[in-house]
Amino acid sequence: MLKLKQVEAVGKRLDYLHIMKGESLKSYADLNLEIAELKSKIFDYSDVEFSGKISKLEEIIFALEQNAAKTISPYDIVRLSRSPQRIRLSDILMNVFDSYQEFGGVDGFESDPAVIVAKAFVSRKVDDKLFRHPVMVIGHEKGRGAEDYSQAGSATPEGNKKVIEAGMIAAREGIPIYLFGNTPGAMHFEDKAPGASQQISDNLAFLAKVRTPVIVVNYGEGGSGGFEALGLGDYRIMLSHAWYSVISPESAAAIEFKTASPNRDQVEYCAKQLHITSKDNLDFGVVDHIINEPALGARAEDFDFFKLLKYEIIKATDMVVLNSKPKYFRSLRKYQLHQGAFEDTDGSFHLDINWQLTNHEKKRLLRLRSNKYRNLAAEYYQDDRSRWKKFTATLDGIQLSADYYIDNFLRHHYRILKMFEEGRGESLAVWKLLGQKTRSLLKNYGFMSNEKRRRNKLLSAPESIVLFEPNSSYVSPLAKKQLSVTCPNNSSAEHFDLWVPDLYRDNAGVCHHCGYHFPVEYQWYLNHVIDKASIKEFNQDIRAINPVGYEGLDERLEKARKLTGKNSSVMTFEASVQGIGLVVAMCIKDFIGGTIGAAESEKIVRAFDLAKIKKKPMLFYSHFCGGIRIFEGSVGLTAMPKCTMAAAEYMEAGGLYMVVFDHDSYAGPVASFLSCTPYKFGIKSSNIGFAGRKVIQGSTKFSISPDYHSVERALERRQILECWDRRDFRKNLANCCQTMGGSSLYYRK
Amino acid sequence: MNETNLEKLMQHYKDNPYEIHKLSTSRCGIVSFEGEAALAFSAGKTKFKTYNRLIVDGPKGDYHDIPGTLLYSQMREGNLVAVCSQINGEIIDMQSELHDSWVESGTYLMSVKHTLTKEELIEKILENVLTIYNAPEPAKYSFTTEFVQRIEKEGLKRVLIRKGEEFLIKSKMKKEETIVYDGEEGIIYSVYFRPNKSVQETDLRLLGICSPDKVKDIDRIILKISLEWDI
Repeated sequence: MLKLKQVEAVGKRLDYLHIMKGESLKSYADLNLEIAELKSKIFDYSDVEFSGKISKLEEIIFALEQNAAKTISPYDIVRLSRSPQRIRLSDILMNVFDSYQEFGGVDGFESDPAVIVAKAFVSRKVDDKLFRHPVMVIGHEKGRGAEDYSQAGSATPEGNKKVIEAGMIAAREGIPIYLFGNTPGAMHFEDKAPGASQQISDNLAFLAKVRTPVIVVNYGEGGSGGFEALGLGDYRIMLSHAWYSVISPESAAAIEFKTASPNRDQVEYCAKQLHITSKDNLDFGVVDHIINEPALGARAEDFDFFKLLKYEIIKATDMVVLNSKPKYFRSLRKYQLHQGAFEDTDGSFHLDINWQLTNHEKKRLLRLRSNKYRNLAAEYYQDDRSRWKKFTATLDGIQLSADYYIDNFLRHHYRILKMFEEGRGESLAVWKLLGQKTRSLLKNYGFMSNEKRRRNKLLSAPESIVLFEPNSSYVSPLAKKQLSVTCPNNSSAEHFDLWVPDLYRDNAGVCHHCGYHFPVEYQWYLNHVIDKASIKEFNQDIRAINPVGYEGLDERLEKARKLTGKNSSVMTFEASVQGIGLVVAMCIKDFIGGTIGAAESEKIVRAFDLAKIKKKPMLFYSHFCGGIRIFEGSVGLTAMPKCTMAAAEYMEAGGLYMVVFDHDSYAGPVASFLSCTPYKFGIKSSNIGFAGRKVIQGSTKFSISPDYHSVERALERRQILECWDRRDFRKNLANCCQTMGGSSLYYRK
Repeated sequence: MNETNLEKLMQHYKDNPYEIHKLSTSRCGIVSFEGEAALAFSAGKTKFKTYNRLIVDGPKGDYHDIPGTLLYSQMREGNLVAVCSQINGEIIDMQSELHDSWVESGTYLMSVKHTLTKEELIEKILENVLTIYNAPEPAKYSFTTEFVQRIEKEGLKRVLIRKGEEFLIKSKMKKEETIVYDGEEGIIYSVYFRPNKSVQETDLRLLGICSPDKVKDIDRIILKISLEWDI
């Protein structure tokens, strides 16, 4: 039996190499044949003969392993991360933590086996004394093959929801959360509420504000939005043989080379271009630390690696906790931690750090987390403003901040007034009991009428604001085309034609028969929704660049700049609608398909900051959003947590954040900052979704209905609040500003 | 219709298990049966076969979202409209001389010979032998609670419906109205509407009614078609 185990071990090593190198491992077939022969004749050989043969095989495979470790490419890492022999979350739970208790069902009886939640204990020895820290472990489980239940780590919305459920328990108990991410991407189910994108967005918004330390470990595949659902934390660790990117190299190659099945060279090219490796991500500042794995990646039997992993996650938690503590309590221990508080020989620590945080420390933790994401990818855009402009902008910023803080201070006074108001309301209720006469007496003194007037004021535009009209004389240039079109809602047998000049001049591009909305350019909205001459664009000089040096992106950016006259795909401006001032971020199609990158995310975050400080409603109008810009790799992907963090902070400060989807809005942005508000609306005939039709059908093997992404279906699954006619946009927007959310708006004092 | 007539009807369909669909233009414009424009429009979506034997496919996919074979395209005022086949079949006649010429709305273009499937044949025969009860207007329809209980108790093809009986509820614009049966007395043989689905203007059929003595004959014929029909 020992012999058989030896042969099997050699076979496993060969398989592992084959997974990594694929067809380029030319000796695989011969070696495999030799191993099979040895296995079949295992009892025919004498001990000496067997040991000779197995030693020879081991030597060959060792040499191949050494060679493979030297020539490891980014795509080899991708293949390694998908190997069934790579470490799983259950291996980590078994070897890193002392004990653990899983939450939820088992195997097929789980709501989603791709996400595991466990309450675990991690221990450290300090001077022969053992300290056990309770922690909450949440992570992707990939399983070990097709027969497993875990769908290769692709989480459904139910699975991602576990993060919020378990996170709330952890926050209540004051224990750190460890998020172990390893997923090729989320399952694209959108047909139930919440859909994939909504749930990822909810997760990001929750993790942005959860009041306990969060450590993220990428231990395999970091596939875009699916990973981001478990990817926002105070400290992000990546294993050396893991990858993290906005899109998998295979999908990127399919898009780049316009083919359904790209060859290995094309995929290798994209893997290199996307800069997906841990080292690249550390250089970009997307992750904080790398844990080195064995030369060919960590496997279930690499026990030394688990020891190192345990040390690193404890150290990371110590760092996060110490940073949240007041300076005078942390300096010495932080220094010691940097110097190496870990003894390699027996695994004991020199330090004892209590991971429980006080309320004050929790606030500091959130502030640090916010700063961390605010500064992510901050150097990957170009600010073309002159020095004078930057100086005046800084002065404006100082003045606005002062106004904001003074106003907030005065709000305390407002609160006291409100308290008196409440007291008066209570006393009125008492008086009511005393009888009709007393109440009518109070009315005569004017108490009731004042109350009524104030309440009305809260829900109306400020009296000083004059109602402006939009520039309704604007006609879309599409109206110049002398041709007719057929409405897509009509079947070919019953079609009737619409004359394009009439359609765009008289009907705003809306079919007068069925209400189908034909596409119009964003300028139409600027002229028909926004008050005339009220647009004041800001940060237009922030320019999208090529942060990861993707081949050909510079030319594409240049072309987009010439075509649109813009520096990025997002336009941010202050404007007013029916006299109500608001901050608008608008995503436009012509600039690389309305994709979001580092420059765009910076503009969006600044727009949120401005809206917060000026106490104005914030509108994100997605005229067309093609997702995260894949050419920016993981740098572009930072837009998801970064903008969600800004949106969450803006809403927490009492702002009103509204999102309006138009035309097509897909992928990362929809799964993050475009879905984290309850006030989402869609323009008729638009499409909203996480993944495209072909991707869903390819990954789930289900055929989906043609209207799967339609705004009506989004309304049905409660992804949006309402479906608007384009011609009512202005009216509805003004109505929303006056009636919905946001206690801290300038016109609601 | 008696048993002999049913047999005759079946024999008729057995000899000619086809249906001819005549296609005429529903709008005016320049018709094109082939050429770059039509092919470009259909690229990757439909296939356009040679005219020697013009086999055409109807829409495919679980949701009938993949269009059928491109039959012809029509251009008017810069608007190119592709007309795809709605049924499977073979083109048996085509006015190919109209290619690249202006035609008025309602101009006959081609005929498609469609081979009937088992289900379609059963449907055809039922149309002949059953009395169809149509909906008064497009709306949502459902059986009354009492009627549902009767169907559950007696079975669908055994429930006898009489004149003056309240049997359906019509729901439209959040208003509900009970419908009283005013047709001939008979057995409910088939139900064409589905609960919570609106009955459309194009197909207003609600129920198929037949006299109680015909039920066995119809059942026998349907069974025969199911067993013998080998198309």
